[in-house]
Amino acid sequence: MSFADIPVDVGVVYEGERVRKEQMFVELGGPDEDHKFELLLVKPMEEVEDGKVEVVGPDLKDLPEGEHVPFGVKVEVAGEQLERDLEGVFERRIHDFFNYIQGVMHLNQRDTIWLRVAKSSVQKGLDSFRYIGLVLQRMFKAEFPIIEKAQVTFYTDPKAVEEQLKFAREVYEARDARVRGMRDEDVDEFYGCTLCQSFAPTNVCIITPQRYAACGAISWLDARASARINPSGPNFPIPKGECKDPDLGWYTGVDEAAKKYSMGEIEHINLYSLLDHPPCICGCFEAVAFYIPEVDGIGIVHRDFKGVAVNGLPFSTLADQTAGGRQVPGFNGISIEYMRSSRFFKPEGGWSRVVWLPKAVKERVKDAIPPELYDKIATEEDATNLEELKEFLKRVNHPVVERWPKEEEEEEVEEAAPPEAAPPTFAPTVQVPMQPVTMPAAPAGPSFKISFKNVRVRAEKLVFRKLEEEKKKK
Amino acid sequence: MSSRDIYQLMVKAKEVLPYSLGKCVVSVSGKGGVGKTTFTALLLKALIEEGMDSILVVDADPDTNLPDVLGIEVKRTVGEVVTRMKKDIDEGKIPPGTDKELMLEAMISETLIEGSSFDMLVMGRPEGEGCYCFVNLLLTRILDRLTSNYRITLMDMEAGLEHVSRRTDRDVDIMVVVTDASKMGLLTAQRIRRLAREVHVEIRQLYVVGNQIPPELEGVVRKRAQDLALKYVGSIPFDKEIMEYNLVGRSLLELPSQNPAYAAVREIAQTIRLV
Repeated sequence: MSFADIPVDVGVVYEGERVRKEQMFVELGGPDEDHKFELLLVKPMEEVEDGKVEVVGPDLKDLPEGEHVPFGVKVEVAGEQLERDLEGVFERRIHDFFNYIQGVMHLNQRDTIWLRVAKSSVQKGLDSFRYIGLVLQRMFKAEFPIIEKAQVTFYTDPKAVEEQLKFAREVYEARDARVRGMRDEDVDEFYGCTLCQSFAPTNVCIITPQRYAACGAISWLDARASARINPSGPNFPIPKGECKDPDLGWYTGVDEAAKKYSMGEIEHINLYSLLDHPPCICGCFEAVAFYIPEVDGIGIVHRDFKGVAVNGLPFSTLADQTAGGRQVPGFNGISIEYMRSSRFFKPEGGWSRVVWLPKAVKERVKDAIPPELYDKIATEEDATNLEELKEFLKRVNHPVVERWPKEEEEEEVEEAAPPEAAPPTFAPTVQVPMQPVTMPAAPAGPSFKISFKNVRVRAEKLVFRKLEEEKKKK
Repeated sequence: MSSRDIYQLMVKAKEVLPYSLGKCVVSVSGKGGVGKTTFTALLLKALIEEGMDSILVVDADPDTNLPDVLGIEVKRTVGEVVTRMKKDIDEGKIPPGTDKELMLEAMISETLIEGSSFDMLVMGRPEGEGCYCFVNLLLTRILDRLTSNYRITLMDMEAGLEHVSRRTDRDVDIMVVVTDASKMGLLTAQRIRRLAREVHVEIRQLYVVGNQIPPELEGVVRKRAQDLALKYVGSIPFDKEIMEYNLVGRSLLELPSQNPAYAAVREIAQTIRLV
């Protein structure tokens, strides 16, 4: 691919180059402009003319120097194998390709783009959008060979920008709706996140399209983007492997990752279960889900909730139960976004098993709660202890009531004692990555698994575990 | 000439040429109230007057007032932007098909105060609870990209290394620790040096500058610095004019060139080969 006909250099080396205010010839879009956009569309072959670059409105050299102007760019691509689902992936590359051009700065995306073109580049001859269009077109075809044709249209005419922006926003919305509807089945890889390893050195958070990272900040798409930018960074692909059970969220690839990062401590994870091998969690989760044996239901409390949860424990104590990369059946750190997933604690019955959560969270995830259940889930206004919760659930006939033993009503009212808060066993010490060592079995004796913990120079502690016993437990 | 010779020549060149010929990260630190903000402002003035026009000033101490001292109005800090981003993420307000790093980068760019010889980034501090791991990861990459655009990055820091260790390229070419005539001031310099080792930040040069030290005590401070193996590179005299500028809110960049405190800082800049 040659850029000999482009007046300025083009290359990855210009990525991240900032055009400072003093150096800029013109600002395209940006925070001071209401109307700006970039859009990539996959079109039928006959509707794209390869190599065509059009400018609607004044060209680059005719724009007012030192000012900001409305701006839009539309890239239309065609190819026998192209699908519209790829539009979002391709569109993100517009940012990179603009930035490859010397003296062109591109920030942000979609209808928030912010570009600057440097005076020095215009002086070198980069005075027309045609050059930029050619670069985009060639880059797209070079990076994605399935793109056979590409044409680019630039908009600087205020009316045209505004018009096209309206159309672009419809496309963005439709695209977001598709992303929201993305399912685990639609992808080949999940992503692992070890960003919080300073807090939980043996934890890996598994991120799938239907399960946000527990911190609530990283979606599957975010993790993928992060893994691509920095392949040796904290986000990396985890091949799904074989799907043993889609509802439990049991994947062999996930189990392998869990095993690897927990140093063999965790051998199996069900991504969507609270009670049966729930996922391990760092310490960064937004909320904790906890099983309430007294009502056979699930309670949830979030980080910002100042009081105590319905079982008498504050967020911090509940968080200690599950943090640190441990797998604790009945306790799980989750993100608020996960509550919007259709796989949310599916094995336990999802929302039909949730009996209590703070009002603030309930309102935030209102759309995700089945309408017939909304009024049946208690908040701190309905119940502040298990006694009141039982009463409430009975009154509204919450689905969990059916799970209660029939003689329940005659039974004496039990003391609403909170489940014992076991002291946290997690000690946030630095652990040296080390594979568990399995010793050869002594003659006629049981075999042992030895895990080295808190190892620095010498091992402080050696754990000998009879493998036989562990098997019995399973 | 072998590549080894060339390398040695380059090392030599780095030892004699002014830092400003290459790219350079300068940090100013010290315990609270010793005048590091004043020193940073005067150092900036010296750089500008030398014709340096590619400077990024980072106000990384949420408790200082570098913008005030420079007569700059701050609309929004990086901390505020990060808090907003975190809030938008929490509330599910960010469209799922968009890239958060691109978004945060633009938001941070918006906070950048752009001037002719220097741009300025005010860090502030994020507020609110919850997990900032991801947002901080993005922030690291964004700050890396931004600072790589400037010949000199001048940071006014609190007496810790948080903002230094946040960058991926964590090394600091020059760290100036400003001290008053107190034991604590010098101990801060020693602590920073130790801390840097602990968090694997390389500080290529660490210097100590005295501020408002009574002339009769300067010898004692110098001696004390020497005992701690710290390089003492100069003192800034007490200056009434600076006080007046601060009182009326006038930018220290407008100080006359012959101002004695400024002259002292200019000399220090030469001593440490920054200009």
